Amino acid sequence: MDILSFLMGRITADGSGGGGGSEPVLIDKTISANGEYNASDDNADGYKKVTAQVPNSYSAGDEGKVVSSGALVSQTAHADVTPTTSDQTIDTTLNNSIKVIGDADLVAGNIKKDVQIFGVTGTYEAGGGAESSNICYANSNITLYSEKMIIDSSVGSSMFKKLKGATNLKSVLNQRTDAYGTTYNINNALQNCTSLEDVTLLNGVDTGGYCEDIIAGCPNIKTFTLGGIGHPNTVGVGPTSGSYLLFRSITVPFDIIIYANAASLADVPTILKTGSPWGAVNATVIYKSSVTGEVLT
Amino acid sequence: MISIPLYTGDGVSLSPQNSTSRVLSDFIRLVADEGCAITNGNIITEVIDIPQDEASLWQNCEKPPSPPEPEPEAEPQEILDILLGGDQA
Repeated sequence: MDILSFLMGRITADGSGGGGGSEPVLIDKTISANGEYNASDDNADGYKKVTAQVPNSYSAGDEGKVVSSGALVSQTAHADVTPTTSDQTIDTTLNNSIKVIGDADLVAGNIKKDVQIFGVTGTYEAGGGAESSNICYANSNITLYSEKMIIDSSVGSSMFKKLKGATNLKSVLNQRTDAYGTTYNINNALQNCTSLEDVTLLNGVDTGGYCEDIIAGCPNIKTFTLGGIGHPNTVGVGPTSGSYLLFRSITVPFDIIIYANAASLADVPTILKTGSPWGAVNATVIYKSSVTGEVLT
Repeated sequence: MISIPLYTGDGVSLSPQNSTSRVLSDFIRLVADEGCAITNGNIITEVIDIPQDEASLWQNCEKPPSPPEPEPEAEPQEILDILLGGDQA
């Protein structure tokens, strides 16, 4: 043994080197965040500076390991999931799953027509269809927004009083055919219904019952029908004299259709001809058979 | 007072509008002058469809005054409903 070395502590008593006053060997080390490392494997006493690298990717089998948040995001992102009427379970690589809640109401009939929601194109139309969407059945005072008015209730003729100035109204049908269905007391009743095109009174009018100037201010009127098949007019079309004219003040051309129990124009009862055209200067009068519906000439 | 011919056929009984498929009818339409009326002694009106051979029976006359608005009357059914407290139709 070298005495000098011993005294300087470079050699231990058993003759091995190190200890005593020797500097530890420290190295810089770059490691992966998910590894185990021993300095002795690197022939060092320890690590002076350790740089941990966190993986930026994630694969199956990496559960429990440390990865960057970017790796987690990339692994949890999926293709777009479109909701449907039933639940959908989406497996993720994080050993769990995501459930997309479905809804049984996500069907075309519940979505407005031509509107698309989650790939489902709607077919729903307000009111359920052309025939029912704009029909108003009324039995009391109303504010009328509908295009068609059908009267067959006990209100009967007095409902006409509510229709004056209903600018959305396109057609009116009084289909009551009982004793109370004859339309009367309707002076000026449909005036200024600027969209009005068709009026049908299945039970005709009561000629003695104040049916005057009924459609003044209705520039779009096309047909005014009294009676129908199975419903011949018998008591006349309306007042025939004085100022009590059914169509006084209306000058636009339109068709006055009168159903009569006759086979030809000559056979139409005189009472149904008297007073024609009842004030409508430019109207066309059309008599039709109440049996066949054919035009009588 | 003016006289307008009426046509028949092609879907109409009496029309002041002619078309190629219609023929002249036996009726004419008499129209009173503005602000006036016409009468045959029984009927006073502003416009009337009559057989052509009755045209001479009609003359100009003064237009009658507009009638007053009548008091609204309840329908018999409405009265019945009020009495019985329900829809009887």
